[in-house]
Amino acid sequence: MLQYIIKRLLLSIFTLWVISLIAFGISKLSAGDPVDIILNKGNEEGSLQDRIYLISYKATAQKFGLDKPTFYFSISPKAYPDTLYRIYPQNKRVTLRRWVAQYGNWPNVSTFIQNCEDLENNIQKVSRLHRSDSLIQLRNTYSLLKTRYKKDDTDVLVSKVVRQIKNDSLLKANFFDQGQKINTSYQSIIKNKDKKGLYLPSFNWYGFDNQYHNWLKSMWSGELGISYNEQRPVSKKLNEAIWITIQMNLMAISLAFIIAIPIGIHSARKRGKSFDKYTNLLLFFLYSIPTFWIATMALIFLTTAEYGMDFFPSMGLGNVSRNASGWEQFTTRIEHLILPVLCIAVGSVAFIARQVRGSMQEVLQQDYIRTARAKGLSEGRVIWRHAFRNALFPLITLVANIIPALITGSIVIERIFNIPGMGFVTIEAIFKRDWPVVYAVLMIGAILTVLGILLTDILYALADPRIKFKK
Amino acid sequence: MFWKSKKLKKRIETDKGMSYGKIVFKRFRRDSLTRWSLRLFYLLVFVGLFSDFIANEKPIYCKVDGKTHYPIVEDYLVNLGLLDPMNTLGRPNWRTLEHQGLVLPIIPYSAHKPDQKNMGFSSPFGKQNIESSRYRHWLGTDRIGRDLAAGLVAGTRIALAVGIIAMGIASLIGIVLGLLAGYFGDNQVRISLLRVVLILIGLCIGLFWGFISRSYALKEGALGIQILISLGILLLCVLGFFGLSRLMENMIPGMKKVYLPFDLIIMRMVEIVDAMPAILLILAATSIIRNPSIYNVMIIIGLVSWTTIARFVRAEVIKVREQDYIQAAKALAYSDFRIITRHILPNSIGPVLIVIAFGMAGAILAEATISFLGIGLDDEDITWGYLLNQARGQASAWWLAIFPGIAIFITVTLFNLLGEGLTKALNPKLDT
Repeated sequence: MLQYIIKRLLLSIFTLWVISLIAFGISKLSAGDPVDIILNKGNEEGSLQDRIYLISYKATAQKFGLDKPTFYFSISPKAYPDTLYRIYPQNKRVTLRRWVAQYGNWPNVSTFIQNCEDLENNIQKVSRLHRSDSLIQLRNTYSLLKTRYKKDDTDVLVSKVVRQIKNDSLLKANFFDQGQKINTSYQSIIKNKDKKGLYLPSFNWYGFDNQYHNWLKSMWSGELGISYNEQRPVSKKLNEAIWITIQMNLMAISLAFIIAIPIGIHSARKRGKSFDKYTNLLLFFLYSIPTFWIATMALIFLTTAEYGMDFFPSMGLGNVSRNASGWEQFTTRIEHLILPVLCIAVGSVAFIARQVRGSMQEVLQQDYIRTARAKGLSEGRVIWRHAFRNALFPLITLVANIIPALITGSIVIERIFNIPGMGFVTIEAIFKRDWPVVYAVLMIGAILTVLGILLTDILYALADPRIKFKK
Repeated sequence: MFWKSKKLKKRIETDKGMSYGKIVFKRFRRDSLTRWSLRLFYLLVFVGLFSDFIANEKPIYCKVDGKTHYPIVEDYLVNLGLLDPMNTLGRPNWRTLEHQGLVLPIIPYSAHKPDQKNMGFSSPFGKQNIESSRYRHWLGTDRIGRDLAAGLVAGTRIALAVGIIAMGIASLIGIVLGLLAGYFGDNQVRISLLRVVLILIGLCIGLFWGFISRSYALKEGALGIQILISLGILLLCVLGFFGLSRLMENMIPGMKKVYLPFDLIIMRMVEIVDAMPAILLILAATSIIRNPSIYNVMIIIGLVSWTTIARFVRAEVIKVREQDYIQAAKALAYSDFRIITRHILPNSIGPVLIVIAFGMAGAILAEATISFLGIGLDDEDITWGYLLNQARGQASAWWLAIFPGIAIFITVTLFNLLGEGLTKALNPKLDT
C-alpha cells in the first residue's frame, strides 16, 4: 500500500511537471510582447525609435527576468546566432529572426541592421540643426525598414533610402556613404543567400538561469510568478480571492449534497414509479441548464427593481464598515452569497442525485439488503445503515471532482455576480493580458485535480480491502 | 415474466433480417423523448444550414429594373468566385430599394446589422419604430438595434459548427489514440531498441527540417500548402530512418528488443490533459489566438476534449480485442491495420457515439460559456452566449436573458437526450 502511494505520488509529480511545461509553453506563445504589456504599451511602429522607451524596456525586461533565455537549452538552425535572445525589444528580435529565416546569413544581416541603426543615430544628432521634409521622409523610411522583412518591401525601402539621401543636399553631404553602405550590405545579404545553415541543427545550453527555471522556482516558493499589471507576486493577488471562492464553493457543494442525497435515495427506492420517472426527467433538465443562464436570470429578475422582485442585494460582496460587528459582517456576506451559491448548487444537485440514484439502485438489488429486510430491520435502518453506506462507495469518485471544483467551479458565476474570487481575478487577468495570473490559476487547478485523483485512489484502497494494488 | 418474454419474442421476430445499425436505430426511436429530440435536431440542422435564407436583410428574390435577382444566392456565388460582383445589385439600401417584386426572408434582418431606428433595447411587446408588422422585431433588439431573432438564427449555425468542428477534432484524436492504446496495449509490439532510437531521431530531424527550418515559409506562404509540405518532410524523415533501421537490423542480427508501451504513453497523455481543468485550459489557450475568431475557440475546445473519447474507445477495444473473431482474423494473418479498421473499429464505435453525443452538448456549453464571457470573439460573431451576455448590462431587457438562454438550454438538452437515447438503444439490458 505504501509502495503504491509512493508510486502514485511520483507519477503525479511527473504529470505536474509536464503540465508546467505546457502552461509555460502556452504562456510563451501568447500574443503580445510581455514587456509591452507590463509597460502598458501597444505595438505601434514609431515606438521603436524612442530611446526612452528602449531604456525602460530594458529595465523592465531585467526586472521581470524576461531578458533571460526561455529554456535550459535550445535547438535552432546554425544560421541563427545563439545570443539572439539578448536582442530587444521583441519586435526587433522577431524581425531579425525572419531575416535570418529568409536569407540564412546572419553576419550580413547583422551588418545591415547595424548600418541602419548607425544611420538612425547619426540622423538624430543632425536633426536638431536641420529640419526638412526629406529628413522626415527618410526617418519614416528607415523606421519602416527595420520592421519589414519581405523582399518586395525591403527592395523598395532600401532604394528609397538611397534616393532620399541623394535628393537632399545636406543629407547627401552627411550621409551619402552610409546610404551606400546600407545598399551594399543589403545587396550582399541577397547575393550571399545561404540556406545551408538553416538545415544544420545547433544545440545551445543556457544553464539554469532561464525563464522557465525561475518561473518554476517561484511556483515552488509559493510566489506563483509576478503579475504583469500589479508588478507583485501573483500569490498576494490570489490570497484573498482564493478564500472567498473556497468558502462559496464549499457552501454550494455541501448544499448540493444535502439536497441531492435524499432525492437520489428516494428515487432509487421508488424505481420505476412515477416519482422516479418525474424526478429523473427533472434532474436531467436541471443537469442540462447552463449555470450562467440561471445566474443571469437570477441577476436580472431577483436583484433589480425592474420587475418588482428585488429580493437580493445585487453585486459583489457588499460593503461593511470596518467597525461593524462580526454578526453584521456575517449576515451581509451570507446575503450576498445566497444567489451565487444556489446557482452553483443547481447543476451539482442534478449530477450528484443521478449518481446517488444509480449506485443506490444497484445496492438495493443485492442479496444482503433482502437479508436485512428479512431479519426484520426497520426500513430506515436498512436504507441508511446497509444500503447507503455501500452505495457511498462509487461516490468516492466524486471526491476527485470536488477538490478542483472548490477553485474552478465558480469562474463564470463570480464574473456574473462580481464576486472578487479566483474566477473573477482570472477573467480580469485574461482581459488585461496578465498571463502569469492565468497560468498560476491553471497550475493551481491542475495540482488540485491531481491531488483529488490521488485521494480517490487512496480512499478506494482504504474503503475496500479487496482492492489490491500491484507495485 | 411470461408476458415479457412474449413481447421480447415479438421484437426479435420483427427485428429479423435487419442490420444491427437498423435495430439500434429502431430501438433508439422507440422512446418518445428521444424521437422528439431527433426531430428537433433535424430542425436545428435545417436552421443552421439555411440561416442566411431565414434571417437576412437581403431579399431572397427581387426584381429590379426588369431583371431578376437572388441576392443571397448571388452572395454565395460571388464569395466562391463564380459570379462577377458587377452583375449583382451590390450593396444598396435594401429597405428603400425600388423594385417590381420582392420576397423577404422570414426575419428581414441580418444578425450583425443594427437597425438604427430601433436602437436601445426595443421590447418585443413595446412600440417599435417600423413601417409595417412585416418588419417587426418579434424578439426585440439589443443596445445598438440588432434583431434578436436574427441573432438566434445566426447563433444556431455557430452552435452546430461548434459541435461538428470541436467534436470532429476531438473524435479524430480520441479514436486514433484510443485504438492504438487499446489494440496494442503495453506488450504487443516488440521492436528492436535500435529501431526505436532511429525512429525517434528521424522524428526529431523531421520536425526540425519540416517546421523549424521552414519557419519563414510557414509564416509567410499559403498556410495550407506549406503545412502539407512540412508534414511531407516529417513523414519522409521518419520513413527514411525506418528504412535505415530495417537495413541495419538485417546486417546486425540478434538486436535487443523492447516492448512499445502504447497504452502507458497514451493513458499518461490522457491523464495530463484531464488534470488541467478544461475551462481554465481553454481560457488560457485563447491567449495564443492573434486574430480572434469563434472558429479558433472551436478548435481549442476540440483539442482539449478528446480524452473522454480516447478512454471510451480504449475500453471498448480492449473488450473487442479478446473476441474470437479477432483471434480468427489474426490467425488468417491479416495485417494489424486491416484488423483495426475492418474488425475492431466497426465493432467498438457504437458506444463511442454516446460519448460523442454528450461531448457535443459539452462543447456547445463550453463555447457558449466562453462567448458569454466575451473572450476570443470577433466583432461579426453573433453567438447565443454573446447575446445572453448583453442582458447583464440592461436588466430591463428580459428578452435578451430569456431567449438565448432557452436556445442554449434546448440544444444542450437535445444532445444530452440523444446521448441518453443512444445509451438505452445500445444497451438493451438497461430497459426492463
